[in-house]
Amino acid sequence: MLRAKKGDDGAFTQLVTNYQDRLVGVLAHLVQDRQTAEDLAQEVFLKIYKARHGYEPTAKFSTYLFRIANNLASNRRRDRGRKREVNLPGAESGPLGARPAEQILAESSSLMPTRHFDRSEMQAVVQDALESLNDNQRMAVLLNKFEEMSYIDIAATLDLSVAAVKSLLSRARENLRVKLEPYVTQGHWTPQG
Amino acid sequence: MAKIVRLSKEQRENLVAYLDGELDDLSARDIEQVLASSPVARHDVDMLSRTWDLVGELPGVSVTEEFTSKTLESIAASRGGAPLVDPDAISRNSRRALGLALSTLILGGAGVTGYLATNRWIPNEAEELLNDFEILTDLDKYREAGDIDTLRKLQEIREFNEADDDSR
Repeated sequence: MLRAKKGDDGAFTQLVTNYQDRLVGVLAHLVQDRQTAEDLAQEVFLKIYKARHGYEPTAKFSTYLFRIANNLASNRRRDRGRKREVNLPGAESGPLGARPAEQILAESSSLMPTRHFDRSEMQAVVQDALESLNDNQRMAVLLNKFEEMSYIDIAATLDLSVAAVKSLLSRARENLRVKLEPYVTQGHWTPQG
Repeated sequence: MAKIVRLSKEQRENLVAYLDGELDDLSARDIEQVLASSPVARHDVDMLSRTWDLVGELPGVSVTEEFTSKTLESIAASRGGAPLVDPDAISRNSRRALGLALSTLILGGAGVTGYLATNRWIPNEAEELLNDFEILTDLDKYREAGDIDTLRKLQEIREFNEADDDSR
């Protein structure tokens, strides 16, 4: 990034190729829509490029990148929320259409015999559990799990104190536990390794 | 029967931080004591850990093939359509490529010239032997005859030629 700041556009191109999969990966789980995630990621890179001359390396570049991504994603969700208030009141489905996890949960009620889920079904269940978290909790979980960020880095990314991140992640993990524990204890899922 | 120990709010928060390796030594020891004395806390930690592993089952995402080019194009458009990659770097690379092509051409030309020269103008031992083949096959007879004048005289004698033909 420092090379890009000095005008080396080749370095910025390298930055895009190095971080694009990680960024789109986190955004896709955050907004639950791949195309929206790619659009947001493009916006993130464009914003960073435009602001490159003012960049100061006060934190890791990934912290800077995900902080911008989180801000843009929050704005996008806020705009979408406003539109939904006007256009789509009371929609049952998630942003990817009908939630398969809701159907799966109904099927796996106590009246149904225990069955073993395949990977895609379990992914839908996990995605649904993730969707039940609020925006900050979800972002903190994604950064912690997939970016392996420390609490300090998550705090810098989300503009929170470390204590707040600790509390945020605790609540998020507790919510995930409540949602996912039945699938673990009833033997629905055994990781394939 | 194990005594049920209620976890404080702080201890509950610390369970996750403990799993993440984010607690200081003192707090970590406190959690370990709680875990040693509370089956409920042990169950909670186990479930937090196993459900956290499930989150890792979410599929990885890779960008589409067009993503990089579209992103670079959008950046190029933002700066007035100029290519994102440094034009100086392009011209430097072009000059380098041109130099390399010329060097290859010169080296290749020199190679071809050398090959032709060694084949056409430098005597080839095998070729010389082929040219002198007839002389070499009769070399013993020429040595026996002694000199060229004697051979010419022998040539003029018809009987000698016929006898020579019979011997072949």
